[in-house]
Amino acid sequence: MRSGLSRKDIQGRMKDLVDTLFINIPSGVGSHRKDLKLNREEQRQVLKKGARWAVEKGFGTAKDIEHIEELGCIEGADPDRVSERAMERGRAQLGTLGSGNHFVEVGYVAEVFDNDVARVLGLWKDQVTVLVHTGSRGFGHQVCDDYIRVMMDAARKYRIELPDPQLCCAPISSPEGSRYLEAMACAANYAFTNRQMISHWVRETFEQVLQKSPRDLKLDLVYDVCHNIAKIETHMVSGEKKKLCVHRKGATRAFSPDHRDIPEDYRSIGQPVLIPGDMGRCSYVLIGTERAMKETFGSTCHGAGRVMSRHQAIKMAKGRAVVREMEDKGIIVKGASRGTIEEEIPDAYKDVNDVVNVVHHAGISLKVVKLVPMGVIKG
Amino acid sequence: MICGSSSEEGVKVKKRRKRFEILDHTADIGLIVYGKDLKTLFENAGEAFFHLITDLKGVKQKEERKIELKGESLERMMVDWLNELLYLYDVENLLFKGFKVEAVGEGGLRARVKGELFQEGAHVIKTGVKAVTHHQIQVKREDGGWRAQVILDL
Repeated sequence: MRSGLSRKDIQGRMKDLVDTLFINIPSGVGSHRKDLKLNREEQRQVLKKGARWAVEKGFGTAKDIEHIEELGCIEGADPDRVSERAMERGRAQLGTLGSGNHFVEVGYVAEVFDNDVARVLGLWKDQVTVLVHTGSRGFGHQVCDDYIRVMMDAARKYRIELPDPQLCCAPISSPEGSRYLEAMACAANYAFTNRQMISHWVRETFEQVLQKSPRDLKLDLVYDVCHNIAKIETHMVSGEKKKLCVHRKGATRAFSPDHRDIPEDYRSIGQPVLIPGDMGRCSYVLIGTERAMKETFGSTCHGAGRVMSRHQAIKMAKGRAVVREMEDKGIIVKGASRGTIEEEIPDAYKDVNDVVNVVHHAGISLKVVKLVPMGVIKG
Repeated sequence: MICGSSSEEGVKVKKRRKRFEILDHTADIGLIVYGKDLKTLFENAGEAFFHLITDLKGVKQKEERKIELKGESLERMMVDWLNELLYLYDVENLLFKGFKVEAVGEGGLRARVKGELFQEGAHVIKTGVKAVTHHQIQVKREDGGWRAQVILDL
């Protein structure tokens, strides 16, 4: 999200902002919003409608929807393809951030690489920004787990040899394949809804802490993009138009200018791509390119990537006051526990600057702005 | 992908036989679990799993749940068993500490697990586990006992 605030406007307020974000946005590690109760029918609506459901319920505005991949709803989602168990796990966790690498980060635009594109995205130097990183939570994992069973049997049925049981699969056009896509769409829609609700609570937090109106804050969604998903798309393959299932795992969509699947107001520049780094370095906003369409089916990287396991990271953090170290760098961090913060120490990640420079020079997405964190909440 | 194991995490029992250890895995984490027989192997896996999630010292055995799983292979059952515990933690917010496996074999598993409701302040969450995976899953006999390897998605 972009804002109408300059970093000077929130000077000295970061601790309050982070503390209040932490209260308003449950990590889901034992905490939930008391004011959110979802019945079964409502949950089915979440799965079918995605972010539209959230907007209907007062989380955010219709304008947000225009800036979400697929308008916040993947077509063809069928809640009947989802197990009772997934429904239960989903009900308990909607509107929660989750642990691991999930976060909400308040930062500012530290560097602008492309003024024209930044202007179209409404981004400017020193502007306060907010990044939200979360997904379908336990719901998505249960859908995955349920379908791994289906796929293990399917792989046997279709005589697909597997190097590892986790890679079990079925042809996309098989009954198992299409049922899975209908269930996966439910998980994607759950994730769109989750982020939409959390974005709404980010806005409420800013209003509460800074005592400013939404009109002054102008916390508008720049873009919301999926990180792990398979999509049916049309691409050129050896000079021929083909319908493909593009699986972006650890990748993100990076469509070129003029693509019909990107918001109208961004069509002249291409699709915004959000690349979170680690909590101590920086993050990037990039833009999709024609080259990505040709070379990577319109895809680019989705984050810095770990260089150290979580276990190594915790060992490395031993005896260090990570929260204090971050504070010395001007970044306020609050997490559900010491462990969940330590496993995310900046040292555990590749330098996102290097990663982004690779995709920039490869031309599969281009740098627009660099965001530097000031406050982070983690599950 | 597996970078090796660290020994100091493994909790020792009286006979100084290691019950489990943590396996490094770049994005995720693995567990290596040992047991003199299959029941102990599954019990130790349950304990290793919650040792990762929380500090078990602070968990009391107040609530009991029965778990029954239908079997197929031991590998699949190991994943199912831990996923079942993860499900109870996710949905009911239960942290488990006591694991009593009454029966386990290719045909299925029957167990009673004891623990308590997560309470903010009383319990710490060391790490969040998203899912138990089938990736590189192993359950096999070793040195007159059993050894299992499970990779968790964090």
